[in-house]
Amino acid sequence: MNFKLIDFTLKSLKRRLTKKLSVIFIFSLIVFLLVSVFSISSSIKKELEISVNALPEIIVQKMSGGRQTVIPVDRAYEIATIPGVQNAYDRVWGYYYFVNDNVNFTVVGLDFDLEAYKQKYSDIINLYAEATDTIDAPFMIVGSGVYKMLEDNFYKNFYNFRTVTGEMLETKIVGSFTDVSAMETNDVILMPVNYVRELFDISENYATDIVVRIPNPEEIEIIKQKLNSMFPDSRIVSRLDIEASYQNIFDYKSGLFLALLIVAFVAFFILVYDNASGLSIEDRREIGILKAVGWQVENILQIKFIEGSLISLFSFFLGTGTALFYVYILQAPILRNLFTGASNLKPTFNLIPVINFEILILIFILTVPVYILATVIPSWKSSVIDADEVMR
Amino acid sequence: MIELKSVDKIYSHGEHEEIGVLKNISFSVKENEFSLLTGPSGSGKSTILSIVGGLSKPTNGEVIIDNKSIAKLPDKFSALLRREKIGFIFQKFNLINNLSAIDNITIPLIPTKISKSEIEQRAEKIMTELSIFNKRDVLVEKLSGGEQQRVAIARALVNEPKIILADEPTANLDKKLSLDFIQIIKQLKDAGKTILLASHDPLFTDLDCINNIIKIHLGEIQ
Ligand SMILES: Nc1ncnc2c1ncn2[C@@H]1O[C@H](COP(=O)(O)OP(=O)(O)OP(=O)(O)O)[C@@H](O)[C@H]1O
Ligand SMILES: [Mg+2]
Repeated sequence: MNFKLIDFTLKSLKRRLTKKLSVIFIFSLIVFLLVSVFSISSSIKKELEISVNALPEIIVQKMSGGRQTVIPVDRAYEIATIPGVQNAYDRVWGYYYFVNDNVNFTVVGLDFDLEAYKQKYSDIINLYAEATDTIDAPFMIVGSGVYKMLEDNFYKNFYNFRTVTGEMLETKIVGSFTDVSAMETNDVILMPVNYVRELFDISENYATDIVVRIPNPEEIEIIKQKLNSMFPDSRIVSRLDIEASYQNIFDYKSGLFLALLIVAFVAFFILVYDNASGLSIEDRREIGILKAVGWQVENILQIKFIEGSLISLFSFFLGTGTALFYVYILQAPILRNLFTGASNLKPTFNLIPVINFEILILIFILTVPVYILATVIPSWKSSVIDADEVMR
Repeated sequence: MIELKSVDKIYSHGEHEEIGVLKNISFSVKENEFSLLTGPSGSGKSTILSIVGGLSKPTNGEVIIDNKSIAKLPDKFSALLRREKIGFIFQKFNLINNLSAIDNITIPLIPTKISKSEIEQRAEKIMTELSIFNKRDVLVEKLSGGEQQRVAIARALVNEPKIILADEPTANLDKKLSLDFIQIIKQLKDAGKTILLASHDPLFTDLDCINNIIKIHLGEIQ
């Protein structure tokens, strides 16, 4: 490749800058949309994966009149004796409606049996242990989303919960945490279990649900059936059930995105088609001049190739760069609502950076070479015909 | 240097519509000769020049440039021939807008192996000779008609061609600029160039530096 040809291409791009700017704008906008959509979707997929992996194999809920109700804790001891069950423990938790921001927090009770929670909240075990040793009053450790909301409402050091019996429960904020899977833990408040019982008025012998850990995945289904017959008043939910329902929501949202993607691709092909469907009179005259002064067809194709590559590579990287910035730094305002729903029932979470190179390469292949071809082919068509038009 | 033998040019549009533009054209221009092609508008002068320059192919006949037959030369080689041996000066100048004078002049040599600095030196030398060096970096559309033409001439000369083909070079110039152009063409002849110029401008007909006049009428030599 001849350096002077590159130099000439740059000069000729410079003088058609305004015309090319609109192409660069549309091209990078399309790449931006595609990359954003795929990044948000792979990020949320990752989020779900982490959440699902943290889920217990089976959850046992007691039902009454078709609705969930508290479950006697001694059932946990009973379940723990079933062969194949490693561990069964009761959980005390519930939703607390935070009036100021119109959202629900998930309040989870932690007890001395910290081991049971280790898998999920390992990073805050120490904070909790320290607080239990030094504080003899209600305290909590909150997810970063909760922390922010409380702070915005001027609750910096403590918050007054209103218990179901109408009393105030002044609770000290001792710390906050973030987790890789922000969607799962952002709205979580961790409190010593006895205060959670007080908050929701759940007595000593009862719990919200019972979690069953089963090391061998093959046994989950059998144990689920056994639990079903042992406790006819209960609903037995396995990890697979939850996974399926997550997946359903996700697939439904992906449909919206698919529509967006189709729009982006149609826009791109209109751009390419416009480029490919013939050159302007000015462009043709120029090709004629170049031929008349002794340029060969291949020289003309070379400058068109350089031009197409420069424009498409620049637009591709501009679009990709701004998309990654938009999704991971700005946290995808507007677009993310399509996926997570516009509801503010859950505090916001952070999109985890997941760069999916396969998708990036796919988008690259579907755009850059297509655009280069759409630049080169029409010039080739017009440069192989006689150049004597310049004589007229 | 230039020789045409029984050249016909027929444009065919579809199966039945054929337009005969040139018929049985034969003439030759020897080295360092200056030949003038004259004839009314539409007689075929531009067509002859584009055939001589290899921009279009004759339907029948032979075209010999510098001892080489080019009538059936593939495009790739006729481009090379133009690059090495021919300088074209067009009626409409055919400059590329939004590029500076020097950038227009150097265009023919961009695909060659000659270095950028040498190309620019050559271009500057020619610009000096044509007294447009002070317009070196001015965009061509900002130049006057006469200056634009001198840029076009400089571009035709930058590859140091043996042959100059000029199509109605004075059609867009006033009397004074036309006379200036004649001076330049005389100098080119003195420098040893072979010149084929198409024009119906009477200014050319009684120039003493012209070796022969080829009169075309309705595509035939009279
Ligand atoms: N592509 C084409 N198809 C059909 N006819 C053509 C084509 N190109 C040129 N002609 C015709 O060929 C004839 C000669 O054209 P040419 O341009 O060579 O004339 P000219 O002598 O240069 O005229 P002018 O003095 O106006 O420049 C004209 O009648 C023109 O209409
Ligand atoms: Mg003409």
